[in-house]
Amino acid sequence: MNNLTTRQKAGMYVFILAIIIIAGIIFGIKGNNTKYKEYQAQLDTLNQQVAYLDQLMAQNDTTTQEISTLDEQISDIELSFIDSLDTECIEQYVMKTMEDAGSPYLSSISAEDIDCPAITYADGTTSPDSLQCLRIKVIYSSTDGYNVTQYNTNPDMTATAETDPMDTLHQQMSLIGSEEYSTRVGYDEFLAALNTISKANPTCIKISSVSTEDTAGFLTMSASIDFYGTYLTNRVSTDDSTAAYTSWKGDTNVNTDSGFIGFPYIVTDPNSPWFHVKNADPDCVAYIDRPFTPYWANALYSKTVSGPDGLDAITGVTSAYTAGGIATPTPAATDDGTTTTDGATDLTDTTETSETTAAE
Amino acid sequence: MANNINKKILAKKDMNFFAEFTASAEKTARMLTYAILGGVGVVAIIVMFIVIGVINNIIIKSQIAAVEAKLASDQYATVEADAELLAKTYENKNNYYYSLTQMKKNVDETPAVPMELPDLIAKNIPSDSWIESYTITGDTLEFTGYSFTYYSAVDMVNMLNDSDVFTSKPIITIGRVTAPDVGAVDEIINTEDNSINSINNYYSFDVEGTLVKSVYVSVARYLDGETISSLGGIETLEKDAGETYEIKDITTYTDETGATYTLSRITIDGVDVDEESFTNIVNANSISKVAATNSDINLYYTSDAAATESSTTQS
Repeated sequence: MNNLTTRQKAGMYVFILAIIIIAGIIFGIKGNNTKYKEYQAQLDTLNQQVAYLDQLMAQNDTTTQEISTLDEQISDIELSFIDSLDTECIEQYVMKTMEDAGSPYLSSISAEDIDCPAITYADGTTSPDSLQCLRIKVIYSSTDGYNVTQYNTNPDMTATAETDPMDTLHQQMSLIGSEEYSTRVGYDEFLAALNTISKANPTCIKISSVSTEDTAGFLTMSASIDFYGTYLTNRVSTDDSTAAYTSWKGDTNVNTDSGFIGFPYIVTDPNSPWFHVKNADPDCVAYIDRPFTPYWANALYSKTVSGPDGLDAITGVTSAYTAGGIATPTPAATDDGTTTTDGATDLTDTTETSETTAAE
Repeated sequence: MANNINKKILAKKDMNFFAEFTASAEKTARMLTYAILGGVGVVAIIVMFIVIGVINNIIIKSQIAAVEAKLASDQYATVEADAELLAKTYENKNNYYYSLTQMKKNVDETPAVPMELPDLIAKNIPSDSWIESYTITGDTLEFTGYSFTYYSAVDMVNMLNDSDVFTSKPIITIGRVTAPDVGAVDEIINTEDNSINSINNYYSFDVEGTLVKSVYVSVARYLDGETISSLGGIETLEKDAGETYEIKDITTYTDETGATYTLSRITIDGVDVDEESFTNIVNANSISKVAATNSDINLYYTSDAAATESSTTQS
C-alpha cells in the first residue's frame, strides 16, 4: 500500500467508493425498495381482504336481517296450519261443537288420512316437509218429532241412573207422538255447527262435503271435514295454540273403576252402568260352539234361551233393571248388513237401532 | 562563467519544474480529496436512503402485522365461514318458505263447501216440492226430490241460478213417479179402513251441476339456470270465475338484497308461452288473463349480475 502513489491510492479509494455506492444502491436502496414494494403489495392485499371482509360483514348483517324477515313469513304460514293433527282432540271438538249447537244425535264419526301431493322444491327435489290432512266424516240424525230422543245417557236409563229408569221410561212413553212434527230438531243445528267449525280457522279447516237424506221421517245428515296440518322437520315457530281442535278439551278425570274387557254372562258390578245386563243376544238361539263346556250343557243352554221360557221371556227393556232381571243386548247391524255376534260390544248402537226400527 | 550561468538556469528550471510539479500534485490531491469527500457524501446519502428504506419497511411491516392481527381477530376470523353458513341458511329457509307456500297453495286450491248453499236451497224449494236428499261438495251440488208439478224442478234451478249457484248447465232429470213405486192400490177406496186413495200424479226430480267457485292463480318466480331455484314463495291469488286479472311489474324482479333479475321465459300450467306472446307480455310488463280455471304461472328470470359478469368475461 505504501508503494502506491497518491494518485493510485486515490484511484483505489474512488474505486472502493464506487463499489460501495453501487452495492449500496443495488443491495441497500433497491433491495429496500423491492422489499417495500413487496410489503406494500402484501399490505394492499391485506387491506383488500379487510375491505372484502368488511363488505362481507355488512352483507352478513343484511342476510341475517333477511333470514329474520323470512322467519317471520315462515312463522305466519306455519301457524296457519294445525301443528299436530290429534284425532282424539279433533273428533272431541267436532262432537262437542255439534252438541253445543243442538245436534247431539250422532250416528257415526270416523277419521281418515287423506293423501296430499308431495312438496317439491324449485329444482324438482322432494322436500322432507309435507302437508297432512285428516278427514273427519260424521253422520248425524235429526229427530223425527214423534219418537222420544236419547243420546249418550240423556236421559240416563242405566242401572246406575240417579232417577229410577222405570220412572224415566214411563215419563218418556207419555211423550211419544206428543211433539209437533215441526219441532223436529237437528238439521238447522247441524248446519250451524258446520258453520261454526268452518269459521273456526278457514285456512286449515275446510268442509269438503255436506249431504242430507230423508230417512223415514227424520233426516240423516253427513259431512266430511278436512283438517290441514303439516309435518315440518325444521319448524321455526312454536305453536302454543290452545284451540279446541289442537289441544284436549274433553274430560280429564274419567272414572275407570268399572270398565271391563269382554261382556260376561251377567254383569255383577253394581258400579257399572251395565249392572245386571245379561249376555244373551239372539245368536244364543243358534248353537254356538263353546270350547270350554260339554256339548250337552251347551245344547241345554241354547235350548233354554231359545225356548218358550228362554229368550222371549228374558227379552225386553223392562226386565233389564228390575231386581235380578235380565236383558238382551240387541245385536247391532254393521255397515255390511250382517249382525255381530258380540252383543256386548255393539250395545252402544242399541239406541239408534231401536229408534230406526220404531220410526220405520 | 558560462557554465555557472547554465547551472543557475538549469537550477532555476529544476526549481520551476518542482514548483509546478508540486502545485500540480497539490491540485490533484485536492481534487482527489474532493472526489473522495464527494464519494463519501454519496455513500452517506445512500446510507441515509437505506436507513429510510429500512425504517419504511419496518413501518409497513408493522402495518402488515396490524392488519394481519386484525384479520386474525374473532371479528374477522369467522366472517367468511359465517357468510357461507348464512348463505346456506338463507337458501334452506328460502326453500322451506317456498315449500310452505306450496302447501298453502294446495290447501287454498282445495274447494270447500259453500256453507251458505244449504240455506239457499231451503229458501228456493217450491211449495209443492220436497227435497229428499242433497249432496254438496266443493265443486258440485246434487239434489233429489219430489213435486206435484213437473215445472217445480226447473223453477228451483232457475231460482238457484239467480244467485249464481251453477257455473254451467246443470243436468235436470224429471220423471213421473209410477204407481207401484208409491204403493198405489187398485181401488179408490180401501175397504179395510175406508181410506180414500186420492193421491195425484207426482214427479221425482234429480238435479246435478257444477258450482260457481273461486279460481286460484298461483304466481311463482324462479331463477333460471342449470339448476332452478326459487325467488321467494308462491303467491296465490283468489279470483271469481270469469274475472279478468292482471299480474303487473313482471319484466324485472328485485329481491330483498337489491339484486335484480330479468324475465327470460314464462310457463302457464307447465306450457311455455310462445315467443310472440312473451314479447307482448314483456312490452306490457304484465300478464292479463281471464280466470277460468285454477292456473299456475311460473316466471323464470336470469340474474343481471351473472349476465354482466358473463359479458365482461367474453369482452
